[in-house]
Amino acid sequence: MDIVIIRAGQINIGALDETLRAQLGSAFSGLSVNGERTVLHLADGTPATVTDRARQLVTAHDPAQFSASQQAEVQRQQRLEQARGQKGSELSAVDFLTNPLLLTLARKIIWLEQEINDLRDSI
Amino acid sequence: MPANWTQPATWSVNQLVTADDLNTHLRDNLEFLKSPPTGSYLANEVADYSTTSTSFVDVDATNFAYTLDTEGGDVLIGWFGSLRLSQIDRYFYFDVLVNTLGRVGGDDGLIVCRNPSVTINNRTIPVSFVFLLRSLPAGTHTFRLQWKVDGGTATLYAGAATSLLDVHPQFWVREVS
Repeated sequence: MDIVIIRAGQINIGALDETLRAQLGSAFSGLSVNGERTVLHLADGTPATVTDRARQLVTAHDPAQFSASQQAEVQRQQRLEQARGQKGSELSAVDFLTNPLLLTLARKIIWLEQEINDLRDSI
Repeated sequence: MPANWTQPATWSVNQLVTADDLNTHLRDNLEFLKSPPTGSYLANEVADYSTTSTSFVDVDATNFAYTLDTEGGDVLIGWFGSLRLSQIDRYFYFDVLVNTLGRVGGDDGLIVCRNPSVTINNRTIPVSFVFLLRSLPAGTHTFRLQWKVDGGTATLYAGAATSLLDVHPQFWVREVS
């Protein structure tokens, strides 16, 4: 069964989906959004108490609030950006000529760094 | 009002052919063939479509849904659109629900796309299919485009002025034989 809720303003669909799944359990299979029209997809025969709760959650939804997984993704991106900022210049094999083992390792890292840069440039 | 299809008559030698015969078997049938039962919609919405549904649901129960009176035979169904999926290594699916048959693809639908396992920001995926529905009995049938994901959020760009992604998906159905 579908419940249509007309709601003005933005929706953080990922966060709202996580909230509804956590609160409604298996009765909820997802939501669809098109502009102000939000459709909740619920199992047939879902009790009125559950549908009422679903409506309340949509009405109370704050799109500025990130879900736990969205916060984790933001933090992961921040850590990645920080690491990129601290990576320094590309390695040079010349700096490791005195140690054959380190030289082999450095060449591997240089190759990987160039491959990653190539992948990032191609996206 | 569109003409109806009439099974063409088999004519006999010296048979008197009336105006009614010609209008029914030639004019009306030709008009029917020129304008067969068709539904189509080119989306130009105020907002893009999104879903998180893990079971098949209508993309747009108003616009991507057509009720046609068919004369019995094959129906051609087409769809194209451009999508984004919010999470890596996730899948989205499309199918068509015919009220008299159920979902024509069944199982996981007619077409699937998997987001790659690496992060590619705002990767846009074009999707299309053409499906020939064979031997649909004559009658009134409703055709609805449906979709689902296995996780994350799928967004279908629908001419909603999204920067660089202001593109227009189309879903269409036409009786062809």
